[in-house]
Amino acid sequence: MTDAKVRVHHLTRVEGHGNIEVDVKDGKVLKCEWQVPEAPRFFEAMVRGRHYTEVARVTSRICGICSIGHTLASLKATEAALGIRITEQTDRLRRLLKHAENFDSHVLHVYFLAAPDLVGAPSVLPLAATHGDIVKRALRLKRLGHEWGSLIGGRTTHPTAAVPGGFASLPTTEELKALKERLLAAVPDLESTVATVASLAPKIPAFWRPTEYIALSDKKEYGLYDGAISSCMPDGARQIWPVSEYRKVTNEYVVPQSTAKYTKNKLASYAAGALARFNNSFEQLHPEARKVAAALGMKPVCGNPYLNTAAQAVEVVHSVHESLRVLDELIGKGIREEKPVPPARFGRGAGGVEVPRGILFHEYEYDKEGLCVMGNCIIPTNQNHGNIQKDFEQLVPELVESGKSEAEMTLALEMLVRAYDPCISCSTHYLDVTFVR
Amino acid sequence: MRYLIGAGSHAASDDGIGLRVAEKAAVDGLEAAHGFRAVALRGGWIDLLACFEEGTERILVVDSARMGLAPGSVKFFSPEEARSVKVLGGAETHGGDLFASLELAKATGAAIPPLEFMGIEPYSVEPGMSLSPELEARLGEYLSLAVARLGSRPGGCGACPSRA
Repeated sequence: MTDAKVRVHHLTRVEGHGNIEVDVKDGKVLKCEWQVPEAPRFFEAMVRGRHYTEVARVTSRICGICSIGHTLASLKATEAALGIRITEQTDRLRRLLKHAENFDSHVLHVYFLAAPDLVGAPSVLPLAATHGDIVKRALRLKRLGHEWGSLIGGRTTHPTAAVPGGFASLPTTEELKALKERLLAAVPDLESTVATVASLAPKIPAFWRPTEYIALSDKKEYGLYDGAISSCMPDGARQIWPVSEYRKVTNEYVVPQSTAKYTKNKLASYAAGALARFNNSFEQLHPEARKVAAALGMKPVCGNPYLNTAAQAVEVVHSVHESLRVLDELIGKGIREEKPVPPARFGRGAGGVEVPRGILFHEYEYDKEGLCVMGNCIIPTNQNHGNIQKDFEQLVPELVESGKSEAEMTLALEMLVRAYDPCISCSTHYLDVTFVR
Repeated sequence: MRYLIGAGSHAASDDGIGLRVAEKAAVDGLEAAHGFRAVALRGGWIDLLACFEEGTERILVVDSARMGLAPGSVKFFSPEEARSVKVLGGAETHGGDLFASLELAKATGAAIPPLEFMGIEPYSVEPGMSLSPELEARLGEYLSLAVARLGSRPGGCGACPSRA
């Protein structure tokens, strides 16, 4: 192929609005862009003047899919600023809540957003007829994730139970026992999920680009809820920073083709997300999850961004088995009523968690009345935009060189973006109807 | 179980009206008092299917809807009485709508419980974290309409956690 023109405006099966534009003339790439045209939403301005007890409720609305993660990052930043040290029970419940969100979102992405590409379907809807059992399994797992998050968070979307210093309402020990039974009952569905992903793995493109991967690294466990910032370079070299120094890693900058800021650290871009966590914390995966990685032929350092979806499948298994361990600890001790820990001071602090799409930072400063005077949020999808662009810049010439058609090139680029599971922002959901009677 | 489902996005002005109605139902403590469960679905239209369970008596979905009516108007309608004319990219979390979830449920053979939409014609679905002043002023009225439509059951069902 010597000429090609790819115009994908409003890419489907991703969260929000992103465009792909590629021009190839006489085999030469003239244009190759991942564009993000969405308007900024000014959450950092919205939290100013808010009391510390309100801030997480506001910032949880940054995203409907990752509202648990935004709540937890916000709470951690507020607690760092206010000198609050949470209890062991709160820490365990939050870890359980974090697993619920990652599980729920990963099931959504693997089954509903990514899988259709691998079986040649435009969406999950036609798969209900051709792969009914798989779709039903996906819905069972999705429901489990939704209800798991609702139990711990008070509700899945914009959780209300988690508050600065602890929990406003707690699940009962009996409810946790019931959740444990549900997770155990889901294990066969997890095994089937792994088999499904493994059967589709040969269709995942074999693209590789040396990449820096940034994720939380936690001494206690696979980094999700807590830890320090970790960089994993293509040769496996590692470096660690405290979350309070997140700006040294993110180094935000602006580019003409995007309303979202880009980030970079040691290389021209870096990646966040499930694959970044996999590469940074592989040894801390639950043994059952490591078995899944082996079954999918994955080991660190993996530089194929398309395998982010496979890494999500690995994490789905990890989250269930790790949560069973956390549940055993909580059930063993029994749930105790605890009042949220009050502030010890008012100042500035940062918090980081791993949301499904990668590392998320919140930072706030509070005055002596407990009112927010500064907020900063750096979301993982923004951290991935630069890396998607750099992937494009290597992938497009490779596609041209291998003689791919425009349609094949379009699909390859769409699949690449979807593999990052971007959550650009929340677009509208309103119904648009006409009445038939 | 009866469900009051609020759908939409807080980030698109009046598209958040369904969520606000469901959230207000929970905050005002109406679930236990009236025997329903309020659920806010934002972006997670697939999660509507979690309510399609044995024992679900009725579902009322409150959502911003472009119906060709005057802004602020309310219309109750069943899925059979309307069809979506929204241009969708497929079964997405954000590009889809609740009609897509019904289509998926039907395709998997799931039993769809009695379900009705309460459409509220928006003034604006432009980016913005607040409802229009007109819809904000009528939030309580919309909630009352939704609760009345679901049917009051004084004393609550006793099994409904106060969550939205």
